Amino acid sequence: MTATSYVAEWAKYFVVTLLVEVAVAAPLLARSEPRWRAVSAVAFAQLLSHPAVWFVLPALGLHRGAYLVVAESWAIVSELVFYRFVFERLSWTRALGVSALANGASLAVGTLLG
Amino acid sequence: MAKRIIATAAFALGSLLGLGTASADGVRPDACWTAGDPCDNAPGPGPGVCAESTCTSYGPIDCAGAAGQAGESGSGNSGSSGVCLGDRRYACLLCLPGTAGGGGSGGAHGGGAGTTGGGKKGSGGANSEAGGGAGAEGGTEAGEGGRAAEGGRANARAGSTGAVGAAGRANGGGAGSSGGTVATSSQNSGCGCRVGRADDERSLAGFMLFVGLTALGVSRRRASRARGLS
Repeated sequence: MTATSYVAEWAKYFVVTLLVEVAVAAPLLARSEPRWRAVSAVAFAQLLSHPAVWFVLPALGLHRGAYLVVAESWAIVSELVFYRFVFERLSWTRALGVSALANGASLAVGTLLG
Repeated sequence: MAKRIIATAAFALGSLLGLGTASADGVRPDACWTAGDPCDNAPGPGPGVCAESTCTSYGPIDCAGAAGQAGESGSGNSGSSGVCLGDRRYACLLCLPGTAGGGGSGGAHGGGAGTTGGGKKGSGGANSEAGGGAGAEGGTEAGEGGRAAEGGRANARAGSTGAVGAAGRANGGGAGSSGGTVATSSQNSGCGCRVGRADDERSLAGFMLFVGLTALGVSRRRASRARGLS
């Protein structure tokens, strides 16, 4: 597989992740914010977390188990911080809940598709 | 109410996914982590074979090309390393092929060496009257001077070992020693296999869903308490 097809593979799973996380996180965030704002925030959060997981973290050379934990922790933490900063009224606990739930769902779906 | 519905739906989804992956006995259908398993979805030329030493790791893996093998009296350059990529959740290890090893230097007497694919010119022999490298299929440069002798055939496909270039025939001078090197590219077999145990990911996904639901529950209780106090 070439680097180009690796990028194409990433793009495919990025779309999957985006759809799953928007479906899970946006309704939870939209309780106190306009829906379009929630959807946009979730989409931007994916841009923040997903490329690093595919293109940066593999360079750490971790074994698979450790890599999974690091990658998912990065995804959860980066997104919860982003949500917390975007939505001022969102508590840290709720931001954690939204981020963990959305990433857990996308990981589960990715497991099925993979 | 809406939150409770969402939480219930998420829990049901997680359970369903967990059951789905469990029914596969913790193994993805296309997984091939056992050494020797064929791996039809391997990138690169032809089907791959899972090598346990590479497929069990998850991140970048070492798939450096082996050093070029010297010809009889020449010396080969080593192939450059391949590049490995490992993706996030799907445990797909990919190797990009390294470049072929360079051609060997010519023998001490006689004609130049045949070079192998991807290699550069073989330099002429020290005492060569008719020096010169062989024309090499796939080579980047012909040898200097002399008539091209019978060229070594290139075989620099990624993932396979190049054949030794045939000896350049000397045109004059002493007997041509066989130059040429074995052009090696990266050890691509074993890379590109999908490998992984879905139960690791299932467990982690379940844990993340649990953390998420718990955090939402705590947040909700706090909010209710705050409303009650006010």
